[in-house]
Amino acid sequence: MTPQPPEQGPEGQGDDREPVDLRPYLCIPYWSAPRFAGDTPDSGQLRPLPGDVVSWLCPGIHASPYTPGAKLEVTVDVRNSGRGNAAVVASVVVYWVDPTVGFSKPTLLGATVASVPPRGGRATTPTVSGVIPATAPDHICLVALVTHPLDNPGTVIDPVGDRHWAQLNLVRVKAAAGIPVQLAFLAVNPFAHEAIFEIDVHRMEMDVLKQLALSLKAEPSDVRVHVRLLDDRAGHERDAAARLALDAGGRRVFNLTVDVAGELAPEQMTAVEVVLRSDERREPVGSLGVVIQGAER
Amino acid sequence: MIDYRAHASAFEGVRKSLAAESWGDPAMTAARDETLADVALAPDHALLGAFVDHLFTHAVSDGTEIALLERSSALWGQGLELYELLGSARKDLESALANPGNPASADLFNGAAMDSQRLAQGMHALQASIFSLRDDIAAQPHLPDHPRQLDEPASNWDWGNFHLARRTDAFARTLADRADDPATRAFAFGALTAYGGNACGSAYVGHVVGGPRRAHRFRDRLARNTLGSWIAAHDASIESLATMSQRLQFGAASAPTLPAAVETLIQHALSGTFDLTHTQPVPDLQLGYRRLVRHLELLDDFVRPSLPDMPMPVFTAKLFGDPANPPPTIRPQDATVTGDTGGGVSVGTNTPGEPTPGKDDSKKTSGSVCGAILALLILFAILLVVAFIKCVIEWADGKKCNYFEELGDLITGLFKKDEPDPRDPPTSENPGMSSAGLTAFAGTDQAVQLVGYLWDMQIQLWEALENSYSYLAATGLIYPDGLLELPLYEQFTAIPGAGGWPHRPAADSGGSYHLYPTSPLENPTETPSPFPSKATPNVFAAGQDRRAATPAGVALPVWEQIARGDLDSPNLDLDADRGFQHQCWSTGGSIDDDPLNVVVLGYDEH
Repeated sequence: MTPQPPEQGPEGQGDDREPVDLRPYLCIPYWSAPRFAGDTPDSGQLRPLPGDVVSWLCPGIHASPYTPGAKLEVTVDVRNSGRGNAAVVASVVVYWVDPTVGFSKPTLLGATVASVPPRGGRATTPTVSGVIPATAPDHICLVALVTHPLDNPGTVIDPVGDRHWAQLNLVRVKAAAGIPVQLAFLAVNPFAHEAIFEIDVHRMEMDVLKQLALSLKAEPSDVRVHVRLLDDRAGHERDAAARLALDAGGRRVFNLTVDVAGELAPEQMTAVEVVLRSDERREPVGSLGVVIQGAER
Repeated sequence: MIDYRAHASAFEGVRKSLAAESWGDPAMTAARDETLADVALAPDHALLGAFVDHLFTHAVSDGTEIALLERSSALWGQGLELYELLGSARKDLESALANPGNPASADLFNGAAMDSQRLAQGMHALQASIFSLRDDIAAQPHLPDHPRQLDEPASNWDWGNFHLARRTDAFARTLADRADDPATRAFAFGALTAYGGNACGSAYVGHVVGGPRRAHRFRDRLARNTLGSWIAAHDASIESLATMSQRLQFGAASAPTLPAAVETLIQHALSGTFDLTHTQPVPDLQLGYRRLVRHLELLDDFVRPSLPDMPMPVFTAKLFGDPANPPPTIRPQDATVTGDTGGGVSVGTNTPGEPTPGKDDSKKTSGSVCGAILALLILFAILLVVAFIKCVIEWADGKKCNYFEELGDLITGLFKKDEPDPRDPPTSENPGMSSAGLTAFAGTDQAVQLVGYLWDMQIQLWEALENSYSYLAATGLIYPDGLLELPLYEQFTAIPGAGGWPHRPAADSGGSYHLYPTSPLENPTETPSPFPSKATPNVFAAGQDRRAATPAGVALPVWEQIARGDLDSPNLDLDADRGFQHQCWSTGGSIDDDPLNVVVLGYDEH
């Protein structure tokens, strides 16, 4: 598009008699290029995240390969869509958690600062590194927070609904033919009050799977999967959905079993998504992805 | 008129282009070789020649720009010192609190407390100077009106403007003609590259500004500096301004002097080009030279500080370990105060800004915010340090200090009043923390809180410096280095789409120069430049394509004519006042006439 000479708006952009709110408006972007014609890069304004954005795989969080007991290095992209003409110092904090679909007890990996210009300015943090204990599970999630004293996040870790938070699952499993994939996770109430939740487990839609495969440099497979949930407390197996009541900050363990109905080649992948919704909010309050790749032969 | 870096880029482009030229004529080849040898032998004289327009401008200036920049540089340096002092105090304090059993820790803690008091005193002492400087800069007295826009006859014009608009080609030729040794010939060649650089660069600047320098002097300065920053960011061969300053220093280091031969050359070229009985007196070139050297030096003083270090890991873990309990802040969350219209406020939910220039970019907003942030910060510093010292006795007993506990409320309450009451700075007092007291205090929540507050304060100080930098850039005093992606500056790095040109001055040019003008067009309208829409500054700055609108494209044909002894080129207006390659002209009537009566001057006229 040919740039046109800028024009003053009807309200008079040059009118500086009115005050300007110069606080930062920070986010960890979930997309950096328009997703479709007319779209804009993620400024953080579109929260809860739209349905075609994978909330547990934020491309703004960059992590080195994860091995329990080894050093993990993370950098985080930050965007400031606030006003004014001067950069701010944003604090970026990275936590890791056991796989959950709600995060109540994160462990600090590290924190750093980055200067981020306003009006859509971007920055990538210096590397935050830390050693996640050898006793940690093979599958963890990273959650990152960007904050500033004049642009504070909510106190609930909410990558879906709060632009200050983002999530990256480091859950990738290899599926050998005929052997189900098993994973334990926690359903956690992030609210400070009792609430009713629904867990929904499903294979990801093919269009989203294709995007995901692209970012993981793998081929999406349309292989069928069958998921089962074992509720530890109830002691019985459920289908791919469950309703439960949790006290404030309450948690419950579930075991997820995924049967892959067929064989995945090593370069192929599919993915199962676990979504936790509350009755009081239509959008997810937490989500978890399990990327299943074919095992090496 | 273009900036130093664009001139340096133009010089190099023309030189390389000349080096690449070949002719069947041995005399031309010999002339080329002589010019290239002169430039190689006297590169600093050549660079000085490339800045000949700035030499004149500084010579006729009243010195305001240098004076403002001197004050800015001094305050910037003091601000950096305080920032470093706070960083050092934080480090010592954290070290003492992390190792309270170390026999040296109590002294470290007390030293950090003393440094914190010095910090608050220093910030308080700077406050009046900073506000005074901000107010003096706000009117932008360093950018006076252009005499053409005031309908002054050319004979009354200062030489800074006059030499850009009268007999420009003739002056460049006369310099070359009168130069008689390698140094003066190198200077003359530099001046010729400035001729080409200004002819093309001013056309680019005028295009992105929406009109010529005389009608949009504030916006023109912003664009000119932006182009300089853009060129520096995209051409690693461009030297730092301090290096350029060093290169231009001739004679004794303590008192650089314009070389006598160059001064004589300029004097002779002026008298050979102009009828000096119909001009203003030739200005003091030595004064212009000294200011030029100093200006380059000062411009490089504004180095932005590195970011504050995070607190030591043990404190970072405590401050950020639980996201449900974020670190405490001493910044009011419901409102900040400015005391000025146009300043920054923060009430309620914040919202994103626009990616296009708007009122966020105005000088007034920048200045108000700069002042507001500073005022807040100084108050924070004083209150925090006073609380710090007051609490040491209770902390040493392992008790929670109520004064410290209430600091947040105190500050919030203070800023509900517009403007907050000023506070006296703290006195210097050694708190006398003992090793036992430090041990009692080190493990408390308030110790972590103190670490967090001081870290927050250093972040605020960094942001205050950043706002000052932003204000100096927005008022055209310094280059916007590192700020090019902001809408205020980005608008000048791509040619806009089709639209009428040039615009007349805006009614409130000092308050709206951050916006593309919407003022009426000045008839007859012109084509500002041959540069296509979206073209970035390298379209002229690259400079080596002599077929295009580049410095080489303008300067080398003149060089060739000089070498051959031909004279068949016009005097180009070096502000590209009526568009690219427009010749020097005078106003037949008033500059406010519609249409404007543009009278192109004959080659010998001025």
